[in-house]
Amino acid sequence: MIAKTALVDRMSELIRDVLQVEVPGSDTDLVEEGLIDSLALISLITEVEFEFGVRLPLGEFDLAHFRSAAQMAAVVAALAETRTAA
Amino acid sequence: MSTLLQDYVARAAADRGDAVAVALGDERLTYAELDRLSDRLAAQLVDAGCVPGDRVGLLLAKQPLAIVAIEAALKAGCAYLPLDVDSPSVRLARIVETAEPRVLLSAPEAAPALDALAAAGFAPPAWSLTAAPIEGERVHSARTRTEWDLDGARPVVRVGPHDPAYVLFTSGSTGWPKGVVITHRNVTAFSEWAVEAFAMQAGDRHSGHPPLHFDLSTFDLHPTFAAGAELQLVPPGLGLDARGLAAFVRERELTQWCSVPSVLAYLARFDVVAQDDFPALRRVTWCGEVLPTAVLAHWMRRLPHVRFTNMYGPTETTCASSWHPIASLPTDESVPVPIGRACPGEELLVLDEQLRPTPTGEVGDLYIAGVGLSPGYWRDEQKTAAAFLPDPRAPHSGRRVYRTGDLARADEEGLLHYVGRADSQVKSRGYRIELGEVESAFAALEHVRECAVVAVEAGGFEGVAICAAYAADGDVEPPALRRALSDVLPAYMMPARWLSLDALPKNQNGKIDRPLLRELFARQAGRRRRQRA
Repeated sequence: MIAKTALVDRMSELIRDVLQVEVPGSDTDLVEEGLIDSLALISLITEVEFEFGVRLPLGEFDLAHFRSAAQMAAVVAALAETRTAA
Repeated sequence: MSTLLQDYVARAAADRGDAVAVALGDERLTYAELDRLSDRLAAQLVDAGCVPGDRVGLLLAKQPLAIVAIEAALKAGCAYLPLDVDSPSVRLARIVETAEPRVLLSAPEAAPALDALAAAGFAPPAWSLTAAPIEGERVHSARTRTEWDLDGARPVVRVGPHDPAYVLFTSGSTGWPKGVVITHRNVTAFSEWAVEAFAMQAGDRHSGHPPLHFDLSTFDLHPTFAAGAELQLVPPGLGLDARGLAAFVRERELTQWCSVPSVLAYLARFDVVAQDDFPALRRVTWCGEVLPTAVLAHWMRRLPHVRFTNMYGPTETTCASSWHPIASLPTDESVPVPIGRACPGEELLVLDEQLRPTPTGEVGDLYIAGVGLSPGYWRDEQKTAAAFLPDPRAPHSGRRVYRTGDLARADEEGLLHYVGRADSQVKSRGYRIELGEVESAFAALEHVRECAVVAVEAGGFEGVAICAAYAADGDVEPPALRRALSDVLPAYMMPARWLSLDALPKNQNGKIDRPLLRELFARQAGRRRRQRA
């Protein structure tokens, strides 16, 4: 399992690379800051899936839990754990 | 007496005044209210010196009062000019400078945008449509609702059917947006067609998804009012919330949905439309860009009770000029659906470089003739003359054709197929974007030594991605560049992919090698797709 802070850092870096936006903090709400729109969200999801080797369950996707680097990292960590457990 | 656009609301108010005309969340206006409020606002616009031919700017979020503003501008004999509150102030200032609105109908929350406009030297009188005044640092509302919502005589201004009804600004290749002038007759012809073609009637509930500064909103407003139906504005907060948007369609029992394809793709991507969902829905239409056939097939399988219709047409020919009802589930999901046949009163012509018709099956430039044609670009004879040509079949008749810049071919059945663009214009989320406008804005930024903006197919659901390659001075952080660019370009024009290089690749002539850049960006995405598969 990847250390939590390392995962958050990787996520922040990914957001920075993909969207070319500064992530002021790992808890910054990217939606509220207007940094993410629908096209950016789709690109980001695609990149997250590739980078972390997970498949986000978009049918049950809840944007409320995917608004900051820390939240995104938590979603990925939970998915990775489920996979390991299975 | 010719029908003018505002007559639709007046007619519906007389026939069924208690019916809802427009709703957003818990807010709603009946036809009687919409008619009365717009009469009152129009009377005050006239009182404030608005005369036929003037532009009345709209600088406020999409809401029932914005619809009141549109109808009021028309009743005052003016053309409405919808402005994007979220647009960077530089761009907004260019539009206001060019269009010279007599008044800006606005709201307190637009104070920052109004302040920025005033700082740039453009401060037409701003009115607050609400009871609360606009209290910016520089701008204070000249009137509020208390001063315009007054009992009085109905305005009696009537312009002619060929006078402007609205002016919409679209992306211009040189970095300066251009205004498309659309007349009452342009829109009444479109509306009458749409009402008949889509069997729109009182009792229908039609979606209002696109923003008002986008041409597609023409379809939401005027045909809906012509039918005496209900306009259900989509709450802006649902932009990212796929499930919320699906719930909105379900709970509001919409009967007609119209949006750009990317919205349909977004809902499909998040898989939020259940089997046989939206029982009230009768028709889904889209316009503005190509809907991936796989997405269409997904929707058709989920909603077998719904009719699906592709529409095609640029802003210059009023919303849509051709249509194609989808007869059955596409068998090959890799083949795009046709843009179909011309709407009545319009013609779509596929011509070669000498403006002669191309043989069936051959690709040519797509031209449009007929009732939808704009009289031209706002105060720009040069651009107008370049895009609106004398009809080559009767050069002295006064009839014109509009050069769309799209490439198309006709098949054996006479159906038209969109093939691509002849220039560097792209569509993203339904917006047309001149890559030249993005590139010139980018090139003008400090620290950017050279740059090129290209578009690549994003594949699958996403459509076209705008990609920016650049070489910059070492002392600038990429996010700072992005921020600087977002200060001058609206969000929908922002590049989705970025590539920082020491120098841009050049071809043998020393020009930037754009095909190679497209390949680099495509490979970036392709690598990821392969890895995932």
